[in-house]
Amino acid sequence: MISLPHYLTVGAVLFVLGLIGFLTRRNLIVMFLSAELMLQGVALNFVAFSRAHGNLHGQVFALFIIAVAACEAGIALAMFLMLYRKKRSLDISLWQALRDPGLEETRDLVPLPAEPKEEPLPVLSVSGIEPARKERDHA
Amino acid sequence: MFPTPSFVERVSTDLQRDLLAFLPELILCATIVALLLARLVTPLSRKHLGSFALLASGCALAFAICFWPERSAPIGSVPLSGNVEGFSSLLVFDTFGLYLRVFLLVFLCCSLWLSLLTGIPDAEDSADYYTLVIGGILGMMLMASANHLLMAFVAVEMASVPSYALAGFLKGRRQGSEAALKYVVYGASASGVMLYGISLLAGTFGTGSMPLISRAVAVASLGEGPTLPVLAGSICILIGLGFKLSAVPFHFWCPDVFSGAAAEVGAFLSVASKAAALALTARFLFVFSGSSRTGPDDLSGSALALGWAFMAAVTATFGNLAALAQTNIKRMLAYSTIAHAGIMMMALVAVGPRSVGPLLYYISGYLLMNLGAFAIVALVRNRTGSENLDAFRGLIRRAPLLAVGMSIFLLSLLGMPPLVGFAAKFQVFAVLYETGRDLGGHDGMIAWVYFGLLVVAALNTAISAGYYLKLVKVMTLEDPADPSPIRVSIGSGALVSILAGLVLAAGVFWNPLTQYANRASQSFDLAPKFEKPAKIPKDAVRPAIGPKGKIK
Amino acid sequence: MLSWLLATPGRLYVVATLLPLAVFALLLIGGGVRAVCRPYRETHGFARFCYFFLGGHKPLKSGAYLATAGIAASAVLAVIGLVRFLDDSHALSPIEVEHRWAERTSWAEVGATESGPAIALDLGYRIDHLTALLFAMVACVSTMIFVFSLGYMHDEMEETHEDHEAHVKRPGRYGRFFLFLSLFCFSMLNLLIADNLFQVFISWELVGVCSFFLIGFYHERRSAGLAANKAFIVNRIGDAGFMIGLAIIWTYFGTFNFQEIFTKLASDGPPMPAYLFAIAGIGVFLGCVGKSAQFPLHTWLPDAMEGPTPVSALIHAATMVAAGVYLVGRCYPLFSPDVRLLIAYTGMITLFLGATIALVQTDIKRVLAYSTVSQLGFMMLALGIGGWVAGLMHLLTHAFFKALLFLGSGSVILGCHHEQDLRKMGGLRRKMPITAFTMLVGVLAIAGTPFFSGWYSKDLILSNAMGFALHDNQHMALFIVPLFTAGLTAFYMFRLWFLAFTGQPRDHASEHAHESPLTMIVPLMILAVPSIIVAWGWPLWDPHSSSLAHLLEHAKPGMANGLDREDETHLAGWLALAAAALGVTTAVFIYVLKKVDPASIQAKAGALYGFLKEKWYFDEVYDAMFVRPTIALGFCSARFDKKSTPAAQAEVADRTMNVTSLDGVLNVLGLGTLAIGGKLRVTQSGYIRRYVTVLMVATLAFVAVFVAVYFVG
Repeated sequence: MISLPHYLTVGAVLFVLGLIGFLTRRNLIVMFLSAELMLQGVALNFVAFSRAHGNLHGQVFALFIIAVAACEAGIALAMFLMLYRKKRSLDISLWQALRDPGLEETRDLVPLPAEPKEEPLPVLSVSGIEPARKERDHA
Repeated sequence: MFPTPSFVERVSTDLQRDLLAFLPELILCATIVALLLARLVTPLSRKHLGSFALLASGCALAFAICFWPERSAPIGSVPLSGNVEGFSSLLVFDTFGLYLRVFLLVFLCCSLWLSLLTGIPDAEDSADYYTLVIGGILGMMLMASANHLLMAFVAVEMASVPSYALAGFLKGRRQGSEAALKYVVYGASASGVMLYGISLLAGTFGTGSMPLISRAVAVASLGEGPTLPVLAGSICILIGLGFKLSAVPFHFWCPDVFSGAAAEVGAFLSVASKAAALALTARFLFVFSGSSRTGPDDLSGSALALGWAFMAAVTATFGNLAALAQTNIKRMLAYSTIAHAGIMMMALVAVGPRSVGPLLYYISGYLLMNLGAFAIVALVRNRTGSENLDAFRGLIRRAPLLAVGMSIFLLSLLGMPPLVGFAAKFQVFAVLYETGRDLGGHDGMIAWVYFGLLVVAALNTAISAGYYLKLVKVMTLEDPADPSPIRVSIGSGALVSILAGLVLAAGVFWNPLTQYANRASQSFDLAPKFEKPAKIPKDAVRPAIGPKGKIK
Repeated sequence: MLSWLLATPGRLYVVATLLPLAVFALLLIGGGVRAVCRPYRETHGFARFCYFFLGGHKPLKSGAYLATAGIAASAVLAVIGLVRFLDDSHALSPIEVEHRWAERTSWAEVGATESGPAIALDLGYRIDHLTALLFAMVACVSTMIFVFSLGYMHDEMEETHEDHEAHVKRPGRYGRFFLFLSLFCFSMLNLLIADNLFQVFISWELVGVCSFFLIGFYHERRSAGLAANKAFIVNRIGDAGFMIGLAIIWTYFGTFNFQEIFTKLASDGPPMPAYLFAIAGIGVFLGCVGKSAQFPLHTWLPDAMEGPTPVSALIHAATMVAAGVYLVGRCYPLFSPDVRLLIAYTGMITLFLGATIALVQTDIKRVLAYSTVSQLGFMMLALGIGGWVAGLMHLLTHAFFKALLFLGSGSVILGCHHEQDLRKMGGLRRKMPITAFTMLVGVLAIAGTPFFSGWYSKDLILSNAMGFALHDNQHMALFIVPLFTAGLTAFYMFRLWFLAFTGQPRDHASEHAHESPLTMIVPLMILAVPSIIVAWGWPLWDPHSSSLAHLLEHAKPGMANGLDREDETHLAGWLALAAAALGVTTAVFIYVLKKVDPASIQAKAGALYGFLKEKWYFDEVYDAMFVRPTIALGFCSARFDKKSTPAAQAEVADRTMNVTSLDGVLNVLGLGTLAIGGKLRVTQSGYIRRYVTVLMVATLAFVAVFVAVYFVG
């Protein structure tokens, strides 16, 4: 008989797996996949509790979690795209310029990829119905 | 199964009442939608939309003030005198929430004004910027009046996601991008932890409603006490909140994000975000301290209090020590934010009407002084292009108004009388002392925790003098490398003068603010609502001197 | 606004108090705006307009007129208030009067407890006869002095003013003078209307600060700086006592409100041990000793004459120094009989001390300063022996004639081109007749000539003293000494007047003296009137029927029953008159008829003369007892502090970790803190993965610790 503790254990395992992935991986996208995994563990918890209590509270929580996770993933992925344009790499270890003054750069066991030459920031068109302005393109 | 007519009737009257009480938030929502749609209308698509956003927030503020229970509300039908639960008890409209709502809207107006002055968003991305700021504030307002763990979670995310985007708002700058990256990665993991805690807590009790959980916790404490999931869950939630509060050891994002993001965003993160997080923490801790009131021997309450006290002390000390050696002003202010968060957390060790009033006063004072400090950093950055200590060298020669204003804000942050920072610190210290003294009667150990906190807080004030006064010295006593005057526009001068004047006025006349804060803190009264017995000699006379020495 | 004002007549006083503050704020803001606009005056149109509108390079003249108008309005309101209050107190019951003339509002409520705020501090005012009279006096005297200052400070109006004593050129400080003077007036008036000790204390410190700034007004002069410091530091000693008193009162009464304290005292007696009650009283009195320049803290007042003469007149003669006497009168029920005796003896020593030193001073302002010390001693003595009305009445009358005397001396000083030495003056009666005549009025008043205001109050003090002394013979000194001093007073005041105004000019400065401008003469003439009539009553020749005394009688606290006996009073009065007459006669003999050469007296009483001339060696004794040891201690600790190194190496030495010296310890502490800060920063590596790891590990650790504590412990 599969009872509440079983579900909770699976939820906890999912959460911890996600956590381990989040901590050990350096690829931004994989890190966020792991974060999603953590959230799915939580969602499983909620659904299990909802079933055990016989009410719908947990289900509602789960739905909200999915929605919020999508939002977070949306903004994170947009950000990763921007970061990738700057460094041509998704390695999170490349981003450690902001630190207290006078400290050394942290080196991992796997060496950092070489820093690419920075490309000029592309001029994005303005959102909305109008296309980008001409003068902006010339500039 | 199917709704009866009476049920529909009740729901619709409740909904009307709730929507009315929710009017300020609705105005903000409408503003966001309007800002986004404005991009689609050709004549508006290239306009700077800041003034519209400011106008709309001012409107929301006006409504929020109208809902304060002691005012003669033009909308008389809203029974907001007590703790009214709204929207199926997802939110609670009590004086505490109302106070913070007004507070957050005041901050929103000030910060929008500041961004108009410093021109951080240009005409093209103004809609994005203001949408994000208003959306974040909206989330924080929900945090302040959340009555349900689901609402708390959604509100925290609503406040966080716009903040991630704001941190990296200056798209061309690497530092901004890095700040946003760090914030989002750290925030995602912290919200995962918090959510896990919520799942344990809500799952155990079968509901997310905080009053119900509070009652259940109180009942459980009479029996064998909280179970493992409850304890672990509440710790996880507190850790999630600790991330928003930048409590040590969950503070790492704070200095990096502050130094990477623009100063205006720094003000947003350090004042509004902290205030909302403190509000939610107060509500959450109150749920748990409900049990500790049953008896002084209850361990879970006092253990939680002990842990929280320890974290507060470490946070304050760490922030101040680390700030000593900073050369970037924004980084220094970030550590100072951590330190102030520590002091404010101290007030929450015993959450109740007595400590929440001073806490609210502290936050309100903190709004004035920290927003002022960040505003001056932004103004100086606009003229000199630098945010380092060197840009402030000899500022008194280059821009006397900014230098005097900054000195006032820094001295207030340090806690010098007669500025608001002193009044705030005094009240928090007084609460610590009095709580310790009252507890000394039956629980000696806990009493010493309070006295210990008092000592730590006092030592911290001394340490913080090291960096605040250093900056004052650099500004006033040293010679500038480039003595050319810094032009300050009339609007910027007005903003700085108003904030500095308020810092001084609120430091001299504590009363209106302390009275409102104390009124708001009565939401945390466990006892049935009571009206303060009117003091005859005081009420017999009308006040001769109004706030700010103005003659009525 | 108007309806607010008319709702309760007491609010007249609030407005009158806040007017000078408003002027102060206006002047301050104006000055601030001017300073802010200064850098842009060449480039920015609006800034240039602001800068030149607010006076430009020159001191702003209109600010001074504004300040004078403000205080004049206050004076008018004060007089209206006085009249209305006297009407009310005749017509209405005490409760109604209390309702109409007292209000308070809470200023700070900190923390909420079940029974209201945990800490509540109030602001409030309460008008009684004492306050009303003193308020009117302060406002009117201030107005006269403001008008006088318009003329006296005229040379501060120049764009670059040359200070002839410090030999520096600096911008004139016309506006700044009136700025501080306005702040002072606000503080002083606020002190008078305050209904609680806390508000009194704030005002007390504010007047102290104003006094500091105004004594040090010519801060380029070293002496002015030193005098300002001295006044401030000596007053701190008194204030330390004051604060101890306040702390005891707050602890045991739980309120600072006068009425509440007195009600509690009257119904239950002191709620604290007797010795603490005495300490509280002595503490409050110590504050008054400092402010009112009583022995042994009197040394600052004569030095305070470094300030401009109107300041000496207003602050250091008429009003602020009287605040101590006022507070003793106000807090009268707080003093136990032993403390009152202490007050009386302090006053006695002070009055004798001041008078003897004044005998031999040659600086015109210093003579007046010591005479102020002596007169304040009279007031304290009167209060101490239960002559509450006598003491406070002398405070009122003294304020008028001492302000008159000081302003007269200011006129003389200006007329003689800033010459203050009496020995170089002479014959000024013909050069400046109005000054001479009005000063004569002041001299007659202070000497206790019948029908002048001083006569009534001094007579009352002496009759009270006589009653007290006859009641208890062991305190006979409390009557003999003041009686003798009354004679001395007459002598030294007439000496001053004869030296300055009669005979022949002894110096070219007095030869070329001229009468002062109208703005200075008119206040003198106006002040001369109350100096004569302020204490009149009917019958004129009976000091006990003085109307002022009858008014003050209403405000008298219950326990201030002087031992004033009708039958002895006339004797005391006659004795005082005789002493004064003796003093005047001696002065006439020495300085007018020149029967005796002062130099020969000096020669005969060489040691005594030197003793008096050096002010009883108080400064020297204090120097040896306190100042030098403190400085020596400072040097000692400095030596202990750090190794004596040449100045060039000082910086290096500061940074070396020499733990054996105190400085070293502090350095280790400071640098250690800094080092810890640096160490803590190592965690801020900028490496986000490490941050997240710490987050997760900390989470696990927290959960583990709590679970362990909870389920194991």
